[in-house]
Parts: sequence; C-alpha cells; structure tokens
Amino acid sequence: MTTKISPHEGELLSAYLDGQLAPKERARLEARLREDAQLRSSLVELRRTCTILRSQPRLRAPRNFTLTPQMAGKSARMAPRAYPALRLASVLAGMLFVLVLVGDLITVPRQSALPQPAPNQAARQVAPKMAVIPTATSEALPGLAANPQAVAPPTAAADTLASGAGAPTQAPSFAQLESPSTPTEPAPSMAAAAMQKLGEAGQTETAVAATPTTLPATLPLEKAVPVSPTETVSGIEPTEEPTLAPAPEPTLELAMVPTLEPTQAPIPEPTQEPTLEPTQEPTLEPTQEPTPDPLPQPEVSAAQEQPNPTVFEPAYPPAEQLPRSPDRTILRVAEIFMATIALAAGLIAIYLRRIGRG
Amino acid sequence: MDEVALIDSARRGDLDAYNRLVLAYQDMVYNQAYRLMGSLEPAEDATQDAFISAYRNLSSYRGGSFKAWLLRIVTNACYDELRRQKRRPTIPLEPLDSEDEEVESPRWLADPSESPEEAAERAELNQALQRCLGDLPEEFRAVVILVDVQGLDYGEASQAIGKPLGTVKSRLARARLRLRGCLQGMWELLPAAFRLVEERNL
Repeated sequence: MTTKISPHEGELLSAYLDGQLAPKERARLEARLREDAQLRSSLVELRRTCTILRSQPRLRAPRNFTLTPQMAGKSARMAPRAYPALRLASVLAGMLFVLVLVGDLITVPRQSALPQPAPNQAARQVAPKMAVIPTATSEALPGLAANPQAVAPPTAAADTLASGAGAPTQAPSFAQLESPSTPTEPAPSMAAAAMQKLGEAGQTETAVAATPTTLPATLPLEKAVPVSPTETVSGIEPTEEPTLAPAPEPTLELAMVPTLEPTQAPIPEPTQEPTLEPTQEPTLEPTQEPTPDPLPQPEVSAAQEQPNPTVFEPAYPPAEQLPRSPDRTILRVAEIFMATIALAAGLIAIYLRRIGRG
Repeated sequence: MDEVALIDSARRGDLDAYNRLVLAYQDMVYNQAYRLMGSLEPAEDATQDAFISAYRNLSSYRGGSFKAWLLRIVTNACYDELRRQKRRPTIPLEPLDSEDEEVESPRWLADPSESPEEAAERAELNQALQRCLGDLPEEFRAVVILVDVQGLDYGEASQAIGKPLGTVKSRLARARLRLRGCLQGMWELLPAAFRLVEERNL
C-alpha cells in the first residue's frame, strides 16, 4: 500500500533522505512529519526503496577493460601509414624477382645454345678421352687395326678418331646440359662457326691440335699416363675436368662402340661418312637409348672433320669464362636478393596488418 | 601517482596511465552500464565502448569529478545502445523450466557464496529491481542509479547527467516514488539483519 503524496512532497522527502535540505526546510519538514502520519509512512517507504537500491551488490567487472594501443587508435593510425608502402615494396620486389628469374631461365638455354661453349666442352671432353679409348681398346684387344692406321697417318687417324668418337660423345654431353632441342641447333651453328674459322685457321693448327691426340695413339703401351700430357697440352683447365666428370662415363661407353666396330671391319674406316652412320645406328639402338642424339652429330662431324679441333682450341677460354659465370652469379645474387626483400616486406606487412586489426 | 597526475599523463598519450584509471573505475562503469541496460553482455560492450570513447575524448574533460565524467560517458553510451535496441527489438532468451515456463530468476545469476535460499531471494530481488528500473524513463533511471546505486552526491550526479542540481533533485524524487510503488512487497526479501539496521534508523 503506497501513500499518495504530491510531487513536491516527494521531492522534499527525497532530498531530506539525502540530507540535501537547507536547515530551515528540514526543520519545517520534520515538524510536518511529526504531525502527518501519512507523510511519515511515505518517508519510510521511500527509505526502503533507497535501501533496496543500495543493498544491491556491486558487480565485479567480468574482465579488464584496459585499452590496447589499437583500441586507443594509436598504431591503428600507424599501421595504415606503413602498410601500403610495405605492400607496394613486397609486390615490386616480387615482380622483380620473377623478372630476374625469367631472365635467368631464358639466358641459361641461350648460353648453352651458343655455338662455342657446348660443342667445345663436348669436343674437349672427347679429345682427351679419345686418347684414352684407343689405348684401352688396343690393350684389351691387341690385334686392332686402328693402331697401325693411327701410326701410319698420325694426324688423319687422330682426326678420324676424334671426329668419329666425338660425334657420339657430343650426344650425352648435350643431354647433360638439359637442352633436348639443342642438339639440332648447335649442329648447324657449329658447322657455320667451323666454316668461318676454316678460312682463318690454317692446317698448321690442325696439326698442332691433332698431335696431342696422336700421342696416346702412337704410344699405346703407356696406359693411362698419356692422358695427363694430352690434357695439359690441349690447354684444358684442371678445374673444368672435375665439373664435367659425369660426362666421361657415357662418352667412354659410346666411344667404345665405334672404336670396337672399326676393328671388326677395319676397311670402312677411312670413309667416315657412310661407315660411321650405319655402324652407330644399329649399335646404339640396342645398347643405349639416346639414338636420336647421335643422328645429327655424324653430319656435324662429317662437315668439319679437320676444322673441329682447330676451331675449338682457341675458342675455349674466352667463350666460356667471360660470358657465363659472372652473368649468372650476378643473376643468382639478384634473385636471392629480390626474393629476400619480397619475403621480408610481405611478412612485415602481414605483421603490421595483424597488429592494426588487434 | 594520484588521479590528476594519471589523467594528465593519459592526456599526453600515456596509455599505461589511462589503463590504471580504467582499472580503478571499471567496476563502477560496468555497474552503471548493467543497471541501465539490465543485462550483462550489452553492459560489457557499453563499458568497453565508454572507455575507448573516454580515452579519445580526454581533451574534453575539464576538471571536476573524473568519476562523474566517466559515468556521463557510459550513460550516454548506454542510451545510444538502448536506442539501437529499440529500433531492432530482440527477444531475450530466458531459461525454461520443466513445464516450458520461463524461469524469472535464473540460478546462474546467484552468488555461490550465499545459501541457496539467500541466493534465490537475492536473485529474485535483483530481478524485481531490474524490472522496476527498466520501467522507468531513461533519464529518471540514470539519476536514481547514479545516486542510489553508485552513491554519487547531487553535485556529481548533476555533472554526470549534464543537468542542473534542481533537475537532479526532481528526477531523483520522481524516480524513487515510482520505484516505491514497483518494489512494494520486496522489503521482506531483504536480509533480516539489513532490515533491522534500517528500522533502527527510522
């Protein structure tokens, strides 16, 4: 049961409860309270209401409402300022990385497709290995007709052996360069280069180039020792030999085949073109798979029997050392640099964004 | 470090100083939000919003009671949220008993330190009070919570609602009179010891 009081009385009672009345007002109200029982009960009810309100337990905050810097809007402003720049840097570095990578990938087959380096390597491998092979065959099969032939015309025999064995050995060497289309490309280019150099290089050079190859052929009794003098004479750097170490294995196998066959049929050897092509084809097909590779190379060897060694010898050092290694190392360094920048910028951008989001 | 120094530091951008103020006042601000909103989760959101808003508007604090200034911010935040809720009314999920009737005093609001009876009574009283407060007009509700729940004096309450002292007085009186009718019969739910103390003061 609530007692009815006027709003003004209610205001007075409310203020009186809070001790907010002026002394004069308060004295007047207390005098009225003593007389007016209804007003007194109203005061009691109001006081109870206040008591109920104040009796309510204060809730504890369910968690801390402290602000993080992001809530305060501090680094939320910082992050967007740095974020676009980093994102742009990341994208630019990524694009440059792809550009450099593509450039690297393009230049690698180009360099291998250059006329000088790839055939040179092949021919260089052939030249010393060829010197080994006749000796090995001559030792294994003492009744070889190749040896007397090599002795009688020293330069010619060496050339034939070099070109004959060089043709199949070029095939695996190209295959190792991982350019399957290159065997067709370097063949004409090599021929063209050989034709150009043919006029420049005299036959004296061919004799010079041929003499190292003849050395092991003329001295078959020395087993593996002649190899090292041939290498040094032909001017091959020792560092390049171990790098091309995997190449000799197939060259030896392939070189064995043509050299063995002439021994079985010694007569066709002087005529190189017809004999080498048919002999290589049937022998290589059952023994080893890379038959398409040796096919173009007999043509090459046939086109440049003599000039081959003459061309290769002077062309080695400038063709290989200058264009290849510095460019590639620069490209590799640039690739790594770009990739690192792209990665770092991207990670920082992600980190900042995460911070900005809170 | 006293409050004025913390406020000065916070104004200069010292977030740690501000967070110390937050820790000092978060219970008060949260209670104000809960009593105004009538439910826990919106109160939490309003409290966080209020502290963020307060930090960003520290420059508008011109001395006086920092407590009242904070309470004014949270009260306004609650008003905003209540207006949003009115535009998009939602039906609260009340727990149902075995007969699919809504349980008015959910047990999980109870303080586990109390006996079950006390907890039930307190929860019932709390529910009743909250319902009565919710029936009040917003401006009346804010004042009665500020003075009777938060314990502010008239001057602070005036600062907190941004109205003159006379307005505080009249609003408070009308709010109490309305609550008096609403809370009729709730007196018996108060703990006996508390009642005795109150009766003695009469």
